[in-house]
Amino acid sequence: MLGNTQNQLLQQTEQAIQAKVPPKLQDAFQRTVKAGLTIMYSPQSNKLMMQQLGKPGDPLQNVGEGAAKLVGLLYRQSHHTMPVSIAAPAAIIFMCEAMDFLEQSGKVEVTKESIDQATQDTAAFVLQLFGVSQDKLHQIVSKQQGQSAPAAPAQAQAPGGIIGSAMGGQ
Amino acid sequence: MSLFGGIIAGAMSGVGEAGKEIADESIKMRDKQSLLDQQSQLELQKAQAIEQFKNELANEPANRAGRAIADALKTQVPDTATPASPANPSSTTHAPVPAPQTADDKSGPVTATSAVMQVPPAVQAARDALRLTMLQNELNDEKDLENRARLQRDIDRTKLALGPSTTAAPVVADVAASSGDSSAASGASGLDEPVPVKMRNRTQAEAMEVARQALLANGDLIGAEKVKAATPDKYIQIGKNGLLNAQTNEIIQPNSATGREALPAEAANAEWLLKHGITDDPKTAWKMAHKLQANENIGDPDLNEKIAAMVASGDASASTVLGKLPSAQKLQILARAKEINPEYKQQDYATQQKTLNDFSTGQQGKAVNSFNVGLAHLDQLGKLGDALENGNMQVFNKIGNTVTSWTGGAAPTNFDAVKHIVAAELVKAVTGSAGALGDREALDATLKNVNSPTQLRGVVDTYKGLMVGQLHGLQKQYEVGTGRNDFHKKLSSEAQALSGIGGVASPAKPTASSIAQVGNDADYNALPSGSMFTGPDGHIRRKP
Repeated sequence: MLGNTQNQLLQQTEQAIQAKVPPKLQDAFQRTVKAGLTIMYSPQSNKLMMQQLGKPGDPLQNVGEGAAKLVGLLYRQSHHTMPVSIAAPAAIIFMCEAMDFLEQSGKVEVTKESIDQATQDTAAFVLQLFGVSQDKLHQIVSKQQGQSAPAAPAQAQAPGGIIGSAMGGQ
Repeated sequence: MSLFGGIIAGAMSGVGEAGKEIADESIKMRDKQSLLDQQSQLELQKAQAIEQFKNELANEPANRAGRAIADALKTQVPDTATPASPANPSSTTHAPVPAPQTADDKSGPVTATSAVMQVPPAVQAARDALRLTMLQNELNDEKDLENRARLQRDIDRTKLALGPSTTAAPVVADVAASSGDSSAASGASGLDEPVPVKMRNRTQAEAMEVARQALLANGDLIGAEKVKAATPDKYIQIGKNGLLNAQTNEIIQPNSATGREALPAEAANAEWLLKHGITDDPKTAWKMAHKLQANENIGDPDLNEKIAAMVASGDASASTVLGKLPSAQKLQILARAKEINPEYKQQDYATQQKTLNDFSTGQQGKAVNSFNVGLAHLDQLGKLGDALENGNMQVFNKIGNTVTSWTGGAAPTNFDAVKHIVAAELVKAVTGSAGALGDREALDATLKNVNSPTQLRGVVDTYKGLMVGQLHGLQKQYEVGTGRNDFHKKLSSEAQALSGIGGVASPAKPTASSIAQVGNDADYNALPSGSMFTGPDGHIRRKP
C-alpha cells in the first residue's frame, strides 16, 4: 500500500489509481508519492499541509488545491524531471491521504460522493497548475465533440486570492 | 594479454558474478527493511500531525482574532496631510490605522483590502494613470479579439475613474512628491502637456521609473539577498511558472509575461505592487516587477564565487554557465573570475578543452602513456643488462622475474633473451609514440648490431633519454595549451623520477649527454666497438 489511509473507500481509490500507472512509470510514481508523504507528515514541513487543510471554506476544495500544490512543489524540486503523466495520479493519492487526515481529525466524513467531488477538484487544480484553465479545457472537449462551446458547467469554486481575482471569480 | 593471464581473468570473473548476485540480494533485503522502517516512521508522524491539527482546530477562534488584530496593525494607508521627507522614507504615506477588531465584533473581519480603500485622490489618480498606460500597451500587443474586448472595457473603466484629465505626467509628479522623492518629482514636472500617442513607450518608461522610485523610497524594492536572508522559505516554486507564498498559502499568478520561472524578489515586488494598488492586474504587476528587478538581481554571492572560480580555472565555459543569468549577475561573476585569474580569457576555453582532450584520449595522451610504460620497463631492463654484465645472477634472476610479470613470457636466462625483450619494449614505445622516437627501421638497425650487455645498456640509455626529451616537449605543449601546470599527474612515478617533471629529483637522468661525446678522431678511436656516441654534429651514432 502506497499511502497510509485507514478508510476502505480511500484504500480502494488508491489501489485503482496505482493500477492505472504504466509499469515503466511505477518506480517514479512510488518515489514521488513517498516524497510527497514525507513532506506532508514530516515535523519540519507538515505546517504547510495543516495551514492548507485548515483554511476557511470548502474542505474538499482545500484538499484538491493542496494536493495540486504538493505535486507542483515536487515537480519543481525535481528540476522538472518528474514525468508529467504521473502528476495527476500522485495528486489523487495525496488527496486520499488528506481526506483520511481530515476524517481522523473529525473535520469531514469520507463518502463516495465526497471522494468524487474531491477528485474533480483535484483534477481541476492540477490542470490549472500546468496552465490549462477550466474554460480552455471545456473548449477543447467541446471542439472534439463537434459542439459549439457552451457555458462552463458548475465547477469547483475558483480559488481565492490573486488567482481568483484574476479569473474574475471573487 | 598472455594465455595464463586470460585464464586467471576468466576464473576471477566467474567468482565475481556469483559475488554480485549475493550482493544484489542483500541490497534488496536491506532496501525492503528500509522501506518498512520508512513506512512506520511516516505512520507515526501522521498520527502526531493529526493530534496537532486537532489542537489547532480547537484553538482556531482565538487564533483568528489575534491574526485580525495583527493584520490591522500591519496594514497602513498613505496620509497626504503629512508629506514624507526623503531622509525618512519609512514614514512615507501612512493612513490612519483601523481600530483593532475583537472576537465579538460582528462587522466582519478587517482585511487589508478595506484598509487600503482609504486612498488619497492624488495617489489613486496616479495608480489609475499607470494602469491606463499599461493597459493601452497591452491592448496594442494583444491579438485575441476576446482579450482585446476585455482590455478595452478595462481601459474605458479606468478612464472614467480618472475623469477628464487622462495625462500621466502631472499625476506622475504628484505620486513622486507624495512618496518623498524630490528627484523624480522634479524630473517629471517638465511634462506639462498631454502625452501624444506616439510617445506611449516613453510614458511607460517614465511610469516605471516613478514606480521604481516609489519602491526605493519606501524601502520595499527587495533584493534577492534580502529576501533570502529574511524569508528563505517564503516562496516556493510551483510548476513551471507559479509561485507559492508559504506564509499565506496563496498561489501567486504565474508569470506569463516572461514565460520563465519567477525569482523570489520579483514575487515580493509584484505582491507589493498589487497590495499597494499600483496596478490591479497581476500580469501587469509581474511585468513591472520583472523589469524593476532585472538590474537589481545579482544572485547568491556564495554561488557567484563558486561559479567565478570554475570559470577562472577553465573547468567551465563562461558562455555555458552564465548564458541564462541576469546581466548584473553575469558581470559580477566575470569580474570576479578576472580577479582570481588575471590571465583568464573566455576565448581560450575552446583551445584549453581541445588540448585537454588531446592529452586525455588523443595522440598526445597515447604518447605519454607509451613513454610512461616504456621508461619504467627500460629502467628495469637496463638493470637487467647490468646484472648480466656483472655476472650477478641473483640480481639478474630477481629482476628477470619482475620482467616476466609484464612480458608474460619465460624469464630471460641469457643475453639474447634480454636483447629480445628490450627490442620488444622499444618497438612498443616507438609505435605508441607514433614516430616521435624515430621509425622502427632505424630501431631494428640499431639493435641488430648490439652484441654485448654494455652496448645494450647504451641503447637503452639512449632511448630513455629520447623519451624524456619527448616528455619535456609534451609538457610544454600541455602547459601552453591548457594554462595548467599539472602535467606531472599524467606521468608514472618512474617517468617523473627520470624526467624530473613534477619536482621529483632524478637520481641519474638518462639523457643524451650520458652518451660519450666524440669531438675528434682520438675520442672516436678510444671507444670500444659497438658503443653509442654523439658526434661533433650532435647526431647519435654507433661505432661498428
